[in-house]
Amino acid sequence: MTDQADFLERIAESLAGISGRIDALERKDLAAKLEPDGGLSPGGRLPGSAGSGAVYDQATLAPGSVTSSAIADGAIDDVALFASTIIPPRVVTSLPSLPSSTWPQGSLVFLTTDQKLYRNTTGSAWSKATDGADIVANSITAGQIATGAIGADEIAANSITADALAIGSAGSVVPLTNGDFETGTFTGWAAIGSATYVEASPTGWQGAYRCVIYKSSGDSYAYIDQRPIPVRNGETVVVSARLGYAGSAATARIQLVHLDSAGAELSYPQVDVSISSDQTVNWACTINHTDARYVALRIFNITDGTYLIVDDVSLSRAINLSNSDGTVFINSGGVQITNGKLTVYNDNGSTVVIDGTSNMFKIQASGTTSLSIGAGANASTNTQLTSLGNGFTVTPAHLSFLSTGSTSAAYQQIGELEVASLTGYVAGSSGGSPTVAVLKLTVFARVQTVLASGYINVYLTGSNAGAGSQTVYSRYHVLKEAAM
Amino acid sequence: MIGMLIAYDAEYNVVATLDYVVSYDDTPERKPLGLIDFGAHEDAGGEMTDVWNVSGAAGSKVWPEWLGGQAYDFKVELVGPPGNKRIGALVHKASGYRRDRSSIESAIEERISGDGDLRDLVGGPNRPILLDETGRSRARPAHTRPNLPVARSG
Repeated sequence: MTDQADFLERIAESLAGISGRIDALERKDLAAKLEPDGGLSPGGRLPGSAGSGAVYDQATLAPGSVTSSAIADGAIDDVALFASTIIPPRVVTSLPSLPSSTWPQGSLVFLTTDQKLYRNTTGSAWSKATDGADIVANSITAGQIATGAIGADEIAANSITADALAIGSAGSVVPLTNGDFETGTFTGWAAIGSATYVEASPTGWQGAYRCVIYKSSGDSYAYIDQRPIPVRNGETVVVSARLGYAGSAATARIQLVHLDSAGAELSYPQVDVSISSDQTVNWACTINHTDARYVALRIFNITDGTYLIVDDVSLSRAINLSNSDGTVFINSGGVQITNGKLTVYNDNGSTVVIDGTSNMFKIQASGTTSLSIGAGANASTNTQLTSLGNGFTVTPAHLSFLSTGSTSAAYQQIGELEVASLTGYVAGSSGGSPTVAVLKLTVFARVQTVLASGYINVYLTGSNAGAGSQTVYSRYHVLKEAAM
Repeated sequence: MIGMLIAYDAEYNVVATLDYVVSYDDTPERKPLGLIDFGAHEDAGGEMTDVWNVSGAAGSKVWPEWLGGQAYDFKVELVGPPGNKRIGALVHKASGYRRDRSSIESAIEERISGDGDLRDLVGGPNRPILLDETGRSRARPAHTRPNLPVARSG
C-alpha cells in the first residue's frame, strides 16, 4: 500500500508543479503557439504527453537558445512569418497580382519563365528594370552591344570628329615617316640606286633638307621606298610630293605597291610625271585589290643621267562622300551630281555657277604686252606661252583689251584698236571736186591667239599711219575654251 | 611665292608682263593642278623660257607684286651674280622712285607671320596694286554706291 501511495503522491506533486507553471504562462500565447485553435484553458492540460521536459515562457527562453535544428524543414513557409522589414525572394511561375498585402512594396520574386528577378517597386507594380545610373562606369564593352543597336538618333549631334571617321576625310593624313627628309637622313625610307642621297636644301628651297635621286645608266632602278603603310581595299589615297630636277629635266614615277597582310606584293599601280620645273604633284590612287592591307610608296627617277629632287612627300585619304540615294558623290574623279544641280556662290552671295552653266570664264593665262610702232610703220610682238605645253590642236579663245595708255585708269577697248583722224580735202581750184571728209585710220592694232607648233601664242600687231611713234598696250586672257 | 613675270628689253624697259598661268595635268581633259609658282621656279634655278617666250625681250624675271600695265612705267634693275640675277628694284621712269624688292619681301614676311593677308601689299592676278603718278603705292578708294538689294539663294 505504501508504494502505491508514494507513487500517486509523486504524480500528484508533478502535476501540481506543471499546473503551476502553466498558470504562470499567458495561456492565450501558449495556446496560439501549440494549438492553432487555441486550446489550453486556464488550468487545463497540455495536449498530448507532458513528457518530462520543461515548458518555458518566451520571455524566459534563453537568447540564442532556439537553433535551426529545432526548426523543422519547411516550417517557415510564409513571408508573413518574417519581420516586416525582412522580405525574402520567392520563386514563382507567374507574377502575383498587385497590390497585395502578401506582397508588400519591396517584395522580390524570381520568375521561372524568364529567369529574371522582379521587385515590387511601388506596391502596385513589378519591375525588372535596371537604372542606367547604377551601371558601373566603363563596364559596357563592344561585345555587349547588339549589332546595329546604335543608330543616328543615339549619336549626339556634332560629336563625331573627322579623326574618328573610317571613311576618308579631306586632310586625313596617313602618317609617313620623315616624308620631308628634315632628319637629314633616309630614316623611314629605303634608298635604292648608286647615287640616291639626302642633301642640304639650297637657298629658296623650303625646308633644311631634300632628297635627290640620281639615275645612272648602270642602275636598274633608282628610287626611294617606304613601307608598310596601312590602307583599306576600295579607298582612294592621294600621294603628294614636291618634285624638281637639277641639270636636265627628269621623269618621276610614283608607285603604290599593294601588299597583303604578310607584306607580299600584289600589284603595282603607278604614274609617270615629266618634271621640267619644280612642282607639287598629286596623284590619286584607288586601292583595288581584295587582299591589300598595306602599300609601299615608291618614287623613282626613270631618266638616265638626271637628278630628281623629292621633298615633302605625304599621303592622305581622299574623301568619298555619298548621300543616301547616291545622287551626290565626291571622289578623286571630282563631283558627280545626279538629278540635281550645283550652285556655286562667291563671297558676297552672288551666283557664279548654276545648273551646269557658268558666268565665269576658265582662263588659262593672263598678261599684258606692249608694242611700240614707229611713224608710218607696222609692228608686231608675240608671246608664246610655253608653260601651257605644245599639245594644242585647237586655237583657244581669248579676251583682250587694247589701249594707248598703260595706267590703271587708261581706257580699254575690246577687239581691235582704231585711232582715227578726220582728214578733209579742199578743192585746189574752182570747179574742182567738192570738199570730202575722209576718215583715216591713224593707228590700228589687234590681239590674236595663234597656234604655232602646238604652242599657244598671243600676237599683238599694229599699224601706225601717224607722224609720230605710238605705243599700244594690251591685256589678254587666254581662255581654255575653243575659239571656233 | 608666285608673283608676276616681267619681260624687259635690252634697255631694261618693260615690254610684257604675265600675271599667272594655270598648270594642267597630262590627261586629255587637262585637269587644273594650280597656278604655276614663278618664284619657286626662279629660286630653283629654272629658266623663264620654260614659262613664256616674248619676242623682242632680253630676259624676264619674277617680281613679287602685281602691277598690271603700270609696270610699263618702270625700268628694271637687276641684281645678283651672272646666271643668277633677279629684279632688285623697279625704277619709275618719270619720278625715279624705286620700288625695292628687299623691302617688299620683308613686308611680305612680316605680314605672313601675322594675319597673312597680302592683298594690299602685292595685289593679285588681274587685281594689281594701285600706284600714283610717281610710282608709289596708293590705297584703293572707298566705293559709294546706291544701296540696292543683292540676290541670295533660298
